[in-house]
Amino acid sequence: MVTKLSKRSYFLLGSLVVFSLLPIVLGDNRPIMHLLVLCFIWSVVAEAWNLILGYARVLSFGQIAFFALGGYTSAMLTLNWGMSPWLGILLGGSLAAGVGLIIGLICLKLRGIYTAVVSFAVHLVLPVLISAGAELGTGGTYGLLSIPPLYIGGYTFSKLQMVPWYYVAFGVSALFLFVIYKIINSPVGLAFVALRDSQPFAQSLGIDDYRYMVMVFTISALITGIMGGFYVHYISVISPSIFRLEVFLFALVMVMLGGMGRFPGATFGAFIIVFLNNYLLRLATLRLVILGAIVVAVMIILPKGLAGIPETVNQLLRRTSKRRGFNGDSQM
Amino acid sequence: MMSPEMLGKLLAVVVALGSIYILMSLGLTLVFGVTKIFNYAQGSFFVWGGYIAWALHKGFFHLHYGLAFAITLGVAFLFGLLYERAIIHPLRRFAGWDWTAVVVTLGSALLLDNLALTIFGSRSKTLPPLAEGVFRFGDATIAKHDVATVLISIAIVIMLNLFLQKTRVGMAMRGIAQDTIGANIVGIPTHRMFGYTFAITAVLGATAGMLLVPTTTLYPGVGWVTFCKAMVVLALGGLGSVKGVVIAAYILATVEVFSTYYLGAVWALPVYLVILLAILVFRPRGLFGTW
Repeated sequence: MVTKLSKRSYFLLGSLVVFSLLPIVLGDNRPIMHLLVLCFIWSVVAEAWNLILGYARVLSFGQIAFFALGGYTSAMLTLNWGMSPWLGILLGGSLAAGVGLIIGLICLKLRGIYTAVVSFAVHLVLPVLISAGAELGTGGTYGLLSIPPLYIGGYTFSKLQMVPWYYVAFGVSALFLFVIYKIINSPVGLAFVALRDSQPFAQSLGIDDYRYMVMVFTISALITGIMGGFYVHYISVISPSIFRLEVFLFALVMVMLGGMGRFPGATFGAFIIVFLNNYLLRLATLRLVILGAIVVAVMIILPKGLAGIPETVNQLLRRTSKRRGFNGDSQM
Repeated sequence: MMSPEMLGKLLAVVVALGSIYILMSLGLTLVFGVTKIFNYAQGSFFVWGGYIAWALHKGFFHLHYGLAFAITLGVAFLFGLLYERAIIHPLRRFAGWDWTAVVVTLGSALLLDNLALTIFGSRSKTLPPLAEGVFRFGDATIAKHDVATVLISIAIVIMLNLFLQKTRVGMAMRGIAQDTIGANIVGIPTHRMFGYTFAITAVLGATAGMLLVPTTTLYPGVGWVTFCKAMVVLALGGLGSVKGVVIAAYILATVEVFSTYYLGAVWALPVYLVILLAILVFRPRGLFGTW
């Protein structure tokens, strides 16, 4: 376990260096830079979701709702009240965390599929409320436009200069990925591993799964909400279309493709999906048909995602002796 | 205060709407009960039912509507079998498939909805009502289509109950619902029963689509609205309970129709969510939930 962890830290350190040097190689190549910024943002969203799905084993479908809540809050505060974007992002994250706490307190007492039903119901209802709330400054169906960009000191970020955007996105996402990594390797993370392996035994040792789940659920909502705020100040528009099923599935597929409950997995998933989506863009509506087909195909061929390829191959080879193949897998 | 005629009209809508929600929710609860999968593609079954009927009757073939209705049901049945065989069956090779199944049904919903968008375009379509005209009771009127909807729904609920209680396939399904491994041990072909379950669900979804579309419109993605309501019906009635579904569907149809009348159509979904959260706080397993 110790050597495995340190190997992983070398890998993380290596990618840190590579990504901080990348702009020197790429120069000011705006399209690629733009995609990489999106990759950074979505990898945090995906890893925060992974924390809930893969580690806490809660089937939560509210993550995009938290993302949008953070984004909308920050956009409304900066546009309508002239607040600083940084403060807006923090307040947006806090609101998402507050809503997450309430939903978590209700949802996590429920059994598996009910959590999915309730959190997805929240996801389906929010766009309706936002479209109806034009008088409150939500922008209604058309959404909010020209949301101010971030600034540091006297410098205001702009799409014309992508390198600063790249570094700030990289810094923010590296920070939050590190936080998530720390949570996974903290006593809380270990408690989840224990609960995943044997719930009755873990509970008999005094692990209070409800409390931990609510805690992680709230933290995940906070991080996702903050990333939502960051996203809208980067993209500079937000509308109820953020709730489209495709956006939701994009993020979910990042987690699933990378591998649920395997830390850097969802980050790989985010990079693959963002770039793939960019290449499919010219196909119009057929793009989403293909994306749906990819989701289905990946789940059928690689149910444990990219990170689980060795295990999946193993399981297929051992299909005759089912007892060993099914060992250690948790059922919902 | 509202006039008696208005009240009568609204109640007629409540009964018709409730009946359609029953069909949608029954499909979901049947699949969940037997396979433990929450089928997020149910809304797409609903939409495709409407589109196939439209294509047969108006778009491409100009068949008589009754014939188109019947053929659509047959197509839905076959599609359900194929859906299980092609998408759900291969997942079951691996442990933990109940989670991947959730994602796969979401993915196939995306695929099916956008396939409909690609083939039929985004302009909304309509279907003819099953019967033209209205019944008159003094001042009050009830559309014949609404009466037909209610009668068909009642017939389906009774038939489904008889099927589950009396036939061998129905009993096998109940056996799997109670204990999948036990059912396997006594020799019930689980895979085939899964296929039948999805086939019946697809038929229920398509029927709901064909019955609801004449009173609203059909466009890709409309299934999600109904699907969302069906989820609330299930949460209120309790997963796995037919009685719960029937009662909850009518309660929620009442809430929807009256909140739409007094507050406006926009508020139907938010009111639903508030009700859903309230139910789950006070009674997490719904009114008649079995687990």
